[in-house]
Amino acid sequence: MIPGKFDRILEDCLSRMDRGESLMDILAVYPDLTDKIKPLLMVAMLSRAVPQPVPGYTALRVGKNQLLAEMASMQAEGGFLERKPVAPPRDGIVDRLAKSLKQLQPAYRFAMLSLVVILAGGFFTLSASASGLADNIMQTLFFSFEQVGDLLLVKPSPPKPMGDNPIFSSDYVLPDSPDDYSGDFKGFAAEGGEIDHGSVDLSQLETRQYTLSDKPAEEADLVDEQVVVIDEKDLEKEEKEDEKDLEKEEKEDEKEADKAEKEDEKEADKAEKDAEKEEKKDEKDKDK
Amino acid sequence: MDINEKALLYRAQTGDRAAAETLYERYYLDIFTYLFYRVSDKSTAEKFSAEVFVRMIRRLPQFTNNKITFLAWLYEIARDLVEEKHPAYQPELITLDMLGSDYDPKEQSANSCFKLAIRDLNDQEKSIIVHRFVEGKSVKDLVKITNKSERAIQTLQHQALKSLQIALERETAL
Repeated sequence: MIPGKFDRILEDCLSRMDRGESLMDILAVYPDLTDKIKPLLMVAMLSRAVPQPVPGYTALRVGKNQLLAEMASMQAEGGFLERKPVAPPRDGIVDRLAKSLKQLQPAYRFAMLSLVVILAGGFFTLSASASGLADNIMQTLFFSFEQVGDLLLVKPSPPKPMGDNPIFSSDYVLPDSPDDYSGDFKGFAAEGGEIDHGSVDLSQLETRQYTLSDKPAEEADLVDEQVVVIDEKDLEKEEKEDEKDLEKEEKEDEKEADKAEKEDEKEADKAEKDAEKEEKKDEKDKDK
Repeated sequence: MDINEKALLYRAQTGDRAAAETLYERYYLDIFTYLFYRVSDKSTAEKFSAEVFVRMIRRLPQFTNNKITFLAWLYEIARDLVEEKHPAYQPELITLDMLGSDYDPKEQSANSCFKLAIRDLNDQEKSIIVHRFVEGKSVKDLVKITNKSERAIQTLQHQALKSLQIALERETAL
Protein backbone atom coordinates (compact mmCIF):
# COMPACT_ATOMS: atom_id res chain seq x y z
CA MET A 1 0.00 0.00 0.00
CA ILE A 2 1.17 3.54 -0.78
CA PRO A 3 2.56 5.18 2.38
CA GLY A 4 -0.02 7.53 3.86
CA LYS A 5 -2.92 5.87 2.06
CA PHE A 6 -3.89 3.88 5.13
CA ASP A 7 -3.79 7.10 7.21
CA ARG A 8 -6.28 8.68 4.81
CA ILE A 9 -8.51 5.60 4.89
CA LEU A 10 -8.43 5.64 8.69
CA GLU A 11 -9.35 9.33 8.71
CA ASP A 12 -12.24 8.60 6.31
CA CYS A 13 -13.49 5.87 8.66
CA LEU A 14 -13.24 8.21 11.67
CA SER A 15 -15.15 10.92 9.79
CA ARG A 16 -17.89 8.41 8.96
CA MET A 17 -18.00 7.48 12.63
CA ASP A 18 -18.42 11.18 13.49
CA ARG A 19 -21.35 11.36 11.06
CA GLY A 20 -23.08 8.51 12.94
CA GLU A 21 -22.42 5.51 10.70
CA SER A 22 -22.23 2.16 12.47
CA LEU A 23 -18.99 0.18 12.75
CA MET A 24 -20.32 -2.57 10.45
CA ASP A 25 -21.23 -0.11 7.73
CA ILE A 26 -17.83 1.52 7.91
CA LEU A 27 -16.00 -1.79 7.74
CA ALA A 28 -18.15 -2.85 4.79
CA VAL A 29 -16.67 0.01 2.76
CA TYR A 30 -13.13 -1.39 3.18
CA PRO A 31 -13.59 -5.20 3.45
CA ASP A 32 -9.92 -5.95 2.66
CA LEU A 33 -8.71 -3.76 5.52
CA THR A 34 -11.19 -4.88 8.17
CA ASP A 35 -8.56 -6.67 10.27
CA LYS A 36 -6.36 -3.60 10.39
CA ILE A 37 -9.02 -0.94 10.77
CA LYS A 38 -11.36 -2.59 13.29
CA PRO A 39 -9.07 -2.50 16.40
CA LEU A 40 -8.12 1.13 15.73
CA LEU A 41 -11.75 2.15 15.36
CA MET A 42 -12.58 0.32 18.59
CA VAL A 43 -9.88 2.31 20.39
CA ALA A 44 -11.19 5.55 18.87
CA MET A 45 -14.73 4.68 20.02
CA LEU A 46 -13.47 3.99 23.54
CA SER A 47 -11.62 7.31 23.58
CA ARG A 48 -14.72 9.15 22.49
CA ALA A 49 -16.82 7.44 25.12
CA VAL A 50 -14.55 8.70 27.87
CA PRO A 51 -16.33 11.53 29.70
CA GLN A 52 -14.52 14.82 29.78
CA PRO A 53 -13.07 15.68 33.19
CA VAL A 54 -15.01 18.41 34.97
CA PRO A 55 -13.09 20.98 36.98
CA GLY A 56 -14.34 21.91 40.42
CA TYR A 57 -16.30 25.15 40.82
CA THR A 58 -13.98 26.36 43.59
CA ALA A 59 -10.93 25.80 41.45
CA LEU A 60 -12.59 27.74 38.64
CA ARG A 61 -13.28 30.74 40.94
CA VAL A 62 -9.82 30.58 42.47
CA GLY A 63 -8.24 30.55 39.03
CA LYS A 64 -10.30 33.58 37.93
CA ASN A 65 -9.39 35.50 41.10
CA GLN A 66 -5.72 34.77 40.54
CA LEU A 67 -6.07 36.07 36.97
CA LEU A 68 -7.76 39.31 38.10
CA ALA A 69 -5.20 39.83 40.87
CA GLU A 70 -2.41 39.47 38.34
CA MET A 71 -4.19 41.97 36.08
CA ALA A 72 -4.42 44.48 38.93
CA SER A 73 -0.71 44.21 39.67
CA MET A 74 0.09 44.57 35.97
CA GLN A 75 -2.10 47.65 35.69
CA ALA A 76 -0.27 49.19 38.64
CA GLU A 77 3.01 48.54 36.86
CA GLY A 78 1.62 49.76 33.52
CA GLY A 79 2.23 46.42 31.88
CA PHE A 80 -0.71 46.54 29.47
CA LEU A 81 -0.86 48.11 26.07
CA GLU A 82 -2.10 51.67 25.80
CA ARG A 83 -5.45 51.84 24.11
CA LYS A 84 -5.19 53.66 20.80
CA PRO A 85 -7.48 56.65 20.44
CA VAL A 86 -10.40 55.94 18.20
CA ALA A 87 -9.97 57.60 14.83
CA PRO A 88 -12.72 60.10 14.05
CA PRO A 89 -15.14 59.00 11.37
CA ARG A 90 -13.98 59.87 7.87
CA ASP A 91 -15.67 62.74 6.07
CA GLY A 92 -18.09 61.99 3.33
CA ILE A 93 -17.23 62.58 -0.32
CA VAL A 94 -19.05 65.92 -0.37
CA ASP A 95 -17.12 67.22 2.65
CA ARG A 96 -13.83 66.10 1.17
CA LEU A 97 -14.65 67.79 -2.13
CA ALA A 98 -15.59 70.98 -0.32
CA LYS A 99 -12.33 70.92 1.64
CA SER A 100 -10.25 70.34 -1.48
CA LEU A 101 -12.13 73.18 -3.22
CA LYS A 102 -11.33 75.52 -0.34
CA GLN A 103 -7.65 74.71 -0.68
CA LEU A 104 -7.63 75.67 -4.38
CA GLN A 105 -6.90 79.16 -5.69
CA PRO A 106 -9.98 81.24 -6.59
CA ALA A 107 -9.47 80.89 -10.36
CA TYR A 108 -9.18 77.13 -10.18
CA ARG A 109 -12.10 77.03 -7.79
CA PHE A 110 -14.27 78.96 -10.24
CA ALA A 111 -13.15 76.71 -13.09
CA MET A 112 -13.99 73.61 -11.08
CA LEU A 113 -17.40 74.93 -10.10
CA SER A 114 -18.14 75.89 -13.73
CA LEU A 115 -17.13 72.44 -14.86
CA VAL A 116 -19.41 70.85 -12.28
CA VAL A 117 -22.31 73.10 -13.33
CA ILE A 118 -21.76 72.29 -17.02
CA LEU A 119 -21.54 68.59 -16.35
CA ALA A 120 -24.63 68.64 -14.15
CA GLY A 121 -26.55 70.63 -16.75
CA GLY A 122 -25.46 68.28 -19.51
CA PHE A 123 -26.45 65.30 -17.47
CA PHE A 124 -29.83 66.86 -16.70
CA THR A 125 -30.47 67.66 -20.35
CA LEU A 126 -29.43 64.22 -21.50
CA SER A 127 -31.52 62.48 -18.90
CA ALA A 128 -34.51 64.67 -19.68
CA SER A 129 -34.22 64.03 -23.41
CA ALA A 130 -33.74 60.32 -22.85
CA SER A 131 -36.61 60.04 -20.43
CA GLY A 132 -39.33 60.18 -23.07
CA LEU A 133 -41.16 62.14 -25.72
CA ALA A 134 -41.54 65.89 -25.69
CA ASP A 135 -44.42 66.55 -23.42
CA ASN A 136 -45.72 69.76 -21.90
CA ILE A 137 -42.92 70.02 -19.33
CA MET A 138 -40.26 69.69 -22.00
CA GLN A 139 -41.96 72.22 -24.24
CA THR A 140 -42.24 74.67 -21.38
CA LEU A 141 -38.58 74.11 -20.59
CA PHE A 142 -37.65 74.62 -24.23
CA PHE A 143 -39.74 77.75 -24.45
CA SER A 144 -38.18 79.20 -21.31
CA PHE A 145 -34.69 78.48 -22.73
CA GLU A 146 -35.68 80.37 -25.89
CA GLN A 147 -36.93 83.28 -23.86
CA VAL A 148 -33.71 83.42 -21.86
CA GLY A 149 -31.74 83.31 -25.12
CA ASP A 150 -33.82 86.15 -26.58
CA LEU A 151 -33.34 88.21 -23.44
CA LEU A 152 -29.59 87.73 -23.61
CA LEU A 153 -29.23 88.37 -27.35
CA VAL A 154 -31.92 90.96 -28.28
CA LYS A 155 -32.00 94.35 -26.59
CA PRO A 156 -35.53 95.66 -26.54
CA SER A 157 -35.68 99.28 -27.86
CA PRO A 158 -37.87 101.80 -26.02
CA PRO A 159 -41.34 101.98 -27.50
CA LYS A 160 -42.08 104.93 -29.74
CA PRO A 161 -44.84 107.39 -28.80
CA MET A 162 -48.17 106.60 -30.32
CA GLY A 163 -48.24 109.70 -32.46
CA ASP A 164 -45.02 108.82 -34.28
CA ASN A 165 -46.01 105.28 -34.97
CA PRO A 166 -47.52 105.03 -38.47
CA ILE A 167 -49.73 102.16 -37.38
CA PHE A 168 -51.86 104.49 -35.31
CA SER A 169 -52.23 107.14 -38.02
CA SER A 170 -55.65 107.30 -39.60
CA ASP A 171 -54.19 107.23 -43.13
CA TYR A 172 -52.35 103.99 -42.62
CA VAL A 173 -53.69 101.12 -44.68
CA LEU A 174 -52.84 97.59 -43.68
CA PRO A 175 -50.91 95.87 -46.47
CA ASP A 176 -52.78 92.59 -46.28
CA SER A 177 -56.17 93.45 -44.91
CA PRO A 178 -58.66 90.60 -44.77
CA ASP A 179 -60.94 92.45 -47.23
CA ASP A 180 -58.29 92.43 -49.92
CA TYR A 181 -57.22 88.90 -49.20
CA SER A 182 -58.00 86.63 -52.09
CA GLY A 183 -55.98 83.49 -51.13
CA ASP A 184 -57.35 80.10 -50.37
CA PHE A 185 -56.12 79.52 -46.79
CA LYS A 186 -58.31 76.82 -45.33
CA GLY A 187 -57.97 77.77 -41.70
CA PHE A 188 -60.05 80.97 -41.99
CA ALA A 189 -63.75 81.03 -41.40
CA ALA A 190 -65.85 80.37 -44.44
CA GLU A 191 -68.68 82.64 -45.46
CA GLY A 192 -71.26 80.39 -43.82
CA GLY A 193 -69.60 80.85 -40.39
CA GLU A 194 -68.19 77.35 -40.15
CA ILE A 195 -64.45 76.71 -39.76
CA ASP A 196 -62.78 74.47 -42.24
CA HIS A 197 -59.98 72.79 -40.20
CA GLY A 198 -58.37 71.23 -43.25
CA SER A 199 -54.71 70.48 -42.71
CA VAL A 200 -54.26 72.64 -39.60
CA ASP A 201 -53.03 70.66 -36.58
CA LEU A 202 -55.30 71.77 -33.76
CA SER A 203 -53.31 70.00 -31.08
CA GLN A 204 -50.29 72.20 -31.84
CA LEU A 205 -52.38 75.31 -31.63
CA GLU A 206 -53.81 74.24 -28.29
CA THR A 207 -50.37 73.40 -26.87
CA ARG A 208 -49.02 76.76 -27.93
CA GLN A 209 -51.94 78.48 -26.28
CA TYR A 210 -51.34 76.50 -23.06
CA THR A 211 -47.64 77.38 -22.81
CA LEU A 212 -48.32 81.05 -23.39
CA SER A 213 -50.99 81.15 -20.72
CA ASP A 214 -48.56 79.48 -18.25
CA LYS A 215 -46.00 82.24 -18.58
CA PRO A 216 -45.75 84.95 -15.95
CA ALA A 217 -47.16 88.36 -16.82
CA GLU A 218 -43.75 90.11 -16.90
CA GLU A 219 -42.34 87.59 -19.37
CA ALA A 220 -45.41 87.92 -21.56
CA ASP A 221 -44.95 91.72 -21.69
CA LEU A 222 -41.32 91.30 -22.64
CA VAL A 223 -42.25 89.02 -25.47
CA ASP A 224 -44.85 91.51 -26.74
CA GLU A 225 -42.26 94.30 -26.65
CA GLN A 226 -39.89 92.24 -28.76
CA VAL A 227 -42.65 91.57 -31.23
CA VAL A 228 -43.35 95.34 -31.49
CA VAL A 229 -39.69 96.11 -32.15
CA ILE A 230 -39.56 93.59 -34.93
CA ASP A 231 -42.83 94.94 -36.44
CA GLU A 232 -41.57 98.57 -36.47
CA LYS A 233 -38.57 97.64 -38.55
CA ASP A 234 -40.68 95.66 -40.92
CA LEU A 235 -43.26 98.38 -41.06
CA GLU A 236 -40.73 101.02 -42.09
CA LYS A 237 -39.67 98.84 -44.98
CA GLU A 238 -43.20 98.07 -45.84
CA GLU A 239 -44.15 101.76 -45.71
CA LYS A 240 -41.45 102.65 -48.20
CA GLU A 241 -42.50 99.83 -50.44
CA ASP A 242 -46.12 100.86 -50.14
CA GLU A 243 -45.30 104.47 -50.99
CA LYS A 244 -43.47 103.31 -54.06
CA ASP A 245 -46.36 101.07 -54.98
CA LEU A 246 -48.83 103.90 -54.46
CA GLU A 247 -46.76 106.25 -56.65
CA LYS A 248 -46.63 103.60 -59.33
CA GLU A 249 -50.33 103.03 -59.08
CA GLU A 250 -51.06 106.74 -59.25
CA LYS A 251 -48.87 107.08 -62.34
CA GLU A 252 -50.52 104.15 -63.91
CA ASP A 253 -53.93 105.52 -63.03
CA GLU A 254 -52.99 108.89 -64.56
CA LYS A 255 -51.76 107.19 -67.68
CA GLU A 256 -54.93 105.18 -67.91
CA ALA A 257 -57.05 108.27 -67.34
CA ASP A 258 -55.12 110.10 -70.08
CA LYS A 259 -55.62 107.19 -72.39
CA ALA A 260 -59.30 107.05 -71.55
CA GLU A 261 -59.68 110.79 -72.14
CA LYS A 262 -57.89 110.49 -75.45
CA GLU A 263 -60.04 107.61 -76.46
CA ASP A 264 -63.15 109.51 -75.36
CA GLU A 265 -62.04 112.50 -77.38
CA LYS A 266 -61.41 110.27 -80.39
CA GLU A 267 -64.79 108.66 -80.00
CA ALA A 268 -66.42 112.08 -79.65
CA ASP A 269 -64.64 113.27 -82.78
CA LYS A 270 -65.74 110.17 -84.60
CA ALA A 271 -69.30 110.65 -83.42
CA GLU A 272 -69.29 114.32 -84.55
CA LYS A 273 -67.89 113.32 -87.92
CA ASP A 274 -70.49 110.61 -88.25
CA ALA A 275 -73.23 113.05 -87.32
CA GLU A 276 -71.98 115.59 -89.91
CA LYS A 277 -71.87 112.84 -92.53
CA GLU A 278 -75.45 111.83 -91.73
CA GLU A 279 -76.61 115.47 -91.86
CA LYS A 280 -74.92 115.84 -95.23
CA LYS A 281 -76.59 112.63 -96.42
CA ASP A 282 -79.99 113.87 -95.21
CA GLU A 283 -79.53 117.23 -96.96
CA LYS A 284 -78.58 115.44 -100.17
CA ASP A 285 -81.65 113.23 -99.90
CA LYS A 286 -83.86 116.25 -99.35
CA ASP A 287 -82.32 117.98 -102.37
CA LYS A 288 -83.00 114.94 -104.50
CA MET B 1 -9.78 33.85 14.40
CA ASP B 2 -12.96 35.83 14.06
CA ILE B 3 -13.33 39.58 14.50
CA ASN B 4 -14.98 39.25 17.90
CA GLU B 5 -12.08 37.23 19.29
CA LYS B 6 -9.60 39.69 17.83
CA ALA B 7 -11.42 42.57 19.48
CA LEU B 8 -11.65 40.61 22.72
CA LEU B 9 -7.92 39.93 22.69
CA TYR B 10 -7.15 43.59 22.00
CA ARG B 11 -9.34 44.66 24.92
CA ALA B 12 -7.63 42.13 27.21
CA GLN B 13 -4.22 43.33 26.01
CA THR B 14 -5.16 46.86 27.07
CA GLY B 15 -6.17 45.68 30.56
CA ASP B 16 -9.93 45.18 30.17
CA ARG B 17 -11.01 42.92 33.06
CA ALA B 18 -14.26 41.80 31.42
CA ALA B 19 -12.41 40.73 28.26
CA ALA B 20 -9.86 38.76 30.29
CA GLU B 21 -12.64 37.04 32.22
CA THR B 22 -14.38 36.10 28.95
CA LEU B 23 -11.18 34.57 27.60
CA TYR B 24 -10.72 32.62 30.82
CA GLU B 25 -14.27 31.22 30.71
CA ARG B 26 -14.03 30.38 27.01
CA TYR B 27 -10.76 28.42 27.12
CA TYR B 28 -10.50 27.08 30.69
CA LEU B 29 -12.08 23.68 29.95
CA ASP B 30 -9.81 23.01 26.94
CA ILE B 31 -6.71 23.75 28.97
CA PHE B 32 -7.94 21.81 32.00
CA THR B 33 -8.76 18.70 29.91
CA TYR B 34 -5.39 18.81 28.23
CA LEU B 35 -3.60 19.20 31.55
CA PHE B 36 -5.70 16.50 33.19
CA TYR B 37 -4.53 13.90 30.68
CA ARG B 38 -0.99 15.20 30.82
CA VAL B 39 -0.59 15.04 34.61
CA SER B 40 -3.30 12.45 35.35
CA ASP B 41 -4.45 14.32 38.45
CA LYS B 42 -7.47 16.55 38.80
CA SER B 43 -6.22 18.90 41.51
CA THR B 44 -2.84 19.30 39.81
CA ALA B 45 -4.64 20.02 36.54
CA GLU B 46 -6.74 22.69 38.27
CA LYS B 47 -3.67 24.33 39.78
CA PHE B 48 -1.84 24.24 36.51
CA SER B 49 -4.84 25.64 34.66
CA ALA B 50 -4.94 28.67 36.94
CA GLU B 51 -1.20 29.11 36.49
CA VAL B 52 -1.57 28.90 32.70
CA PHE B 53 -4.03 31.81 32.69
CA VAL B 54 -1.85 33.90 34.98
CA ARG B 55 1.03 33.37 32.56
CA MET B 56 -1.32 34.10 29.71
CA ILE B 57 -2.20 37.54 31.09
CA ARG B 58 1.45 38.34 31.73
CA ARG B 59 2.46 37.51 28.17
CA LEU B 60 -0.69 38.77 26.49
CA PRO B 61 0.63 42.27 25.59
CA GLN B 62 3.33 40.59 23.48
CA PHE B 63 0.98 38.15 21.79
CA THR B 64 0.41 38.50 18.06
CA ASN B 65 -1.87 36.13 16.23
CA ASN B 66 0.15 36.13 13.03
CA LYS B 67 1.79 32.75 13.54
CA ILE B 68 -0.52 30.69 15.74
CA THR B 69 -4.04 30.89 17.07
CA PHE B 70 -4.76 32.00 20.62
CA LEU B 71 -5.77 28.48 21.70
CA ALA B 72 -2.60 26.98 20.24
CA TRP B 73 -0.66 29.64 22.12
CA LEU B 74 -2.43 28.64 25.36
CA TYR B 75 -1.57 24.96 24.74
CA GLU B 76 2.05 26.00 24.27
CA ILE B 77 2.00 27.74 27.64
CA ALA B 78 0.38 24.67 29.24
CA ARG B 79 2.94 22.32 27.67
CA ASP B 80 5.82 24.51 28.82
CA LEU B 81 4.32 24.59 32.33
CA VAL B 82 4.04 20.81 32.52
CA GLU B 83 7.59 20.33 31.27
CA GLU B 84 8.81 22.93 33.75
CA LYS B 85 6.97 21.63 36.82
CA HIS B 86 7.03 17.91 35.91
CA PRO B 87 10.43 17.56 34.25
CA ALA B 88 11.07 14.02 35.41
CA TYR B 89 7.53 12.83 35.19
CA GLN B 90 7.33 9.07 34.94
CA PRO B 91 4.29 6.83 34.80
CA GLU B 92 3.46 5.78 38.32
CA LEU B 93 1.41 3.03 39.79
CA ILE B 94 -2.15 4.31 39.54
CA THR B 95 -4.06 4.45 42.79
CA LEU B 96 -7.77 4.97 43.32
CA ASP B 97 -7.07 8.49 44.60
CA MET B 98 -5.38 9.38 41.33
CA LEU B 99 -8.45 8.32 39.36
CA GLY B 100 -10.62 10.83 41.22
CA SER B 101 -13.38 10.71 43.79
CA ASP B 102 -16.08 9.86 41.20
CA TYR B 103 -14.34 6.66 40.23
CA ASP B 104 -16.63 3.59 40.09
CA PRO B 105 -14.78 0.34 39.34
CA LYS B 106 -17.83 -1.45 37.96
CA GLU B 107 -19.21 1.21 35.67
CA GLN B 108 -16.07 2.97 34.59
CA SER B 109 -13.61 0.17 34.12
CA ALA B 110 -13.16 1.15 30.48
CA ASN B 111 -12.57 4.77 31.43
CA SER B 112 -10.03 3.85 34.06
CA CYS B 113 -8.28 1.59 31.60
CA PHE B 114 -8.14 4.49 29.16
CA LYS B 115 -6.73 6.80 31.83
CA LEU B 116 -4.09 4.24 32.66
CA ALA B 117 -3.28 3.47 29.07
CA ILE B 118 -2.91 7.05 27.94
CA ARG B 119 -0.10 7.53 30.46
CA ASP B 120 2.05 5.23 28.36
CA LEU B 121 1.85 7.46 25.29
CA ASN B 122 4.33 10.19 24.50
CA ASP B 123 3.30 13.88 24.69
CA GLN B 124 2.49 14.21 21.00
CA GLU B 125 0.35 11.07 20.97
CA LYS B 126 -1.41 12.13 24.16
CA SER B 127 -2.22 15.53 22.70
CA ILE B 128 -3.61 13.99 19.53
CA ILE B 129 -5.78 11.50 21.40
CA VAL B 130 -7.08 14.12 23.81
CA HIS B 131 -7.79 16.79 21.19
CA ARG B 132 -9.10 14.51 18.48
CA PHE B 133 -11.16 11.98 20.47
CA VAL B 134 -11.74 13.25 24.00
CA GLU B 135 -12.39 16.89 23.07
CA GLY B 136 -13.82 15.92 19.65
CA LYS B 137 -11.79 18.38 17.58
CA SER B 138 -11.42 17.90 13.83
CA VAL B 139 -8.20 17.37 11.89
CA LYS B 140 -8.44 20.98 10.64
CA ASP B 141 -8.60 22.22 14.24
CA LEU B 142 -5.53 20.14 15.05
CA VAL B 143 -3.71 21.68 12.09
CA LYS B 144 -4.30 25.12 13.65
CA ILE B 145 -3.36 24.00 17.17
CA THR B 146 -0.24 22.02 16.34
CA ASN B 147 0.90 24.01 13.27
CA LYS B 148 1.36 20.75 11.35
CA SER B 149 0.04 19.63 7.98
CA GLU B 150 -3.14 17.63 7.60
CA ARG B 151 -1.20 14.61 6.37
CA ALA B 152 1.14 14.79 9.37
CA ILE B 153 -1.84 14.92 11.71
CA GLN B 154 -3.37 11.87 10.01
CA THR B 155 -0.13 9.94 10.41
CA LEU B 156 0.21 11.00 14.06
CA GLN B 157 -3.40 9.99 14.66
CA HIS B 158 -2.70 6.54 13.24
CA GLN B 159 0.38 6.13 15.43
CA ALA B 160 -1.42 7.39 18.54
CA LEU B 161 -4.33 4.99 18.06
CA LYS B 162 -1.90 2.10 17.55
CA SER B 163 0.06 3.01 20.69
CA LEU B 164 -3.14 3.33 22.70
CA GLN B 165 -4.36 -0.01 21.41
CA ILE B 166 -1.15 -1.67 22.60
CA ALA B 167 -1.35 0.15 25.94
CA LEU B 168 -4.97 -0.87 26.45
CA GLU B 169 -4.17 -4.49 25.64
CA ARG B 170 -1.42 -4.33 28.21
CA GLU B 171 -3.68 -2.77 30.85
CA THR B 172 -6.46 -5.28 30.28
CA ALA B 173 -3.99 -8.14 30.42
CA LEU B 174 -2.80 -7.01 33.86
